[in-house]
Amino acid sequence: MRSRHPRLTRAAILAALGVVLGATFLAYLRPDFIFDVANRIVLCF
Amino acid sequence: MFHSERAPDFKTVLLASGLVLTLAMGVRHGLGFWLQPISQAHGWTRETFSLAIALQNLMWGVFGPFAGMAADRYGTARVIVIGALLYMGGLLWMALVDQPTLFAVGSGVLIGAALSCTAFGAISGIVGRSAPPEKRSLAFGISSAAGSFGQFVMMPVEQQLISVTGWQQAFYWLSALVVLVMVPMAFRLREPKLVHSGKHEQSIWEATREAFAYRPFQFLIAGYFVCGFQVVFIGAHLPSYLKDKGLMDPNIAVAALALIGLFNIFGSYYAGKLGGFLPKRYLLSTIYFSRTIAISLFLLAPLSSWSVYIFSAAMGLLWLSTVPLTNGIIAGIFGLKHLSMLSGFVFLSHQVGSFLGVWLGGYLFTREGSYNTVWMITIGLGLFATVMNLPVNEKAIRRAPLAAS
Repeated sequence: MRSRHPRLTRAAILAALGVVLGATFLAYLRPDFIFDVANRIVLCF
Repeated sequence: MFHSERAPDFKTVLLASGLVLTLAMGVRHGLGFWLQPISQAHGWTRETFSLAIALQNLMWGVFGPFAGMAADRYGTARVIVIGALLYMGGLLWMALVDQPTLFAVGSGVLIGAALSCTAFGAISGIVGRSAPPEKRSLAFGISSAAGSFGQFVMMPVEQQLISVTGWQQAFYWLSALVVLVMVPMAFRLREPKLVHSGKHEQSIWEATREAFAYRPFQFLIAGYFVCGFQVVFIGAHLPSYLKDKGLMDPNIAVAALALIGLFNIFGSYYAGKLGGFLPKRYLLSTIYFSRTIAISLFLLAPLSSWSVYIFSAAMGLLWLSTVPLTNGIIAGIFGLKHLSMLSGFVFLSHQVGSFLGVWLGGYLFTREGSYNTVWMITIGLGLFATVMNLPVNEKAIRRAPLAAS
């Protein structure tokens, strides 16, 4: 199914992605997250 | 059941394989959060859990070529379903088994095998087949970006899941999520049954022999080894390095991880996009050379929070950007028939490099009391990979006409 407004759809997807990435980045800076990471010795890269 | 009348379209493949990759890469990336609660609950040292993670990484590499062979031969959909079930089994194993050796070996084998069925190698075949040739590199870039996105997003998700539900329940939720998302996505990736043309087709053994005897493939294997070594050494040891150098604030180390994760998404995507119109070998060389420069400048510049942030953003851009380019070169040289298997072989070298990166980092630090030597090795390997990728001939391999069997 093709969107009637491909530019709008694209902009909406990019905006949603931006919100998810921004919110995730902020989640990394939460004190409880930092505490948990600081206590890890194994990072699963 | 695992075949369809017609091949899935390009967008469906990108979306379905992207979701599988997001979960496959994301879930394993956050497993480190269980280190403390599991070790405490069972009264283990940290060694048991570390061994399980190290085994997972090695097994991921070892099973990679076999999962690739299966994907090339029996279809990606079937392999993803098996991978999802193995993933579920591995997570449940981690939740329920309290005997240390069984825990480490079982979860190492199950999740390692699951990753080989659901991550880049096994997926690359269907992505390559569904993409028009001019968009193939971009398609690999989007797939890699999906994996990177999973790594970035799933870490805080898993950390919260443990906080809210407890470590054991968190495993149950994740195992359900993996199966409920991956299995339906696998069914969207069903392809028509392979029809033999009657002509002699290259066998698995012939394809393997051809690839390993071909110099550019050997160069790619060498380059990918370096990628694994550098990425895992930095990922695992950067926080300890910062602490060792007096940057005690954990906020800096965590922000560094977040920046690596965030920029990794863009690096993977744009590497694939650039690979569509620039020679991939030069892009790969540039990536390894840029890593070398970034590491050297980071070590030479006075260490501060800002030098860490800039280094992390730069390394993030260069993190998994090698994946779409390497897979793109393999597809270009050898074609698509055995792409998943050949990607699996190259990835095995990546995982051996990863294992050595994390182990050697710890070993040399314990022996010498500093990371200086291993940083020098990392820089030297970066230069080696820069040179190794330059002569890679990306053109399709010329095969002698095969007699009909």
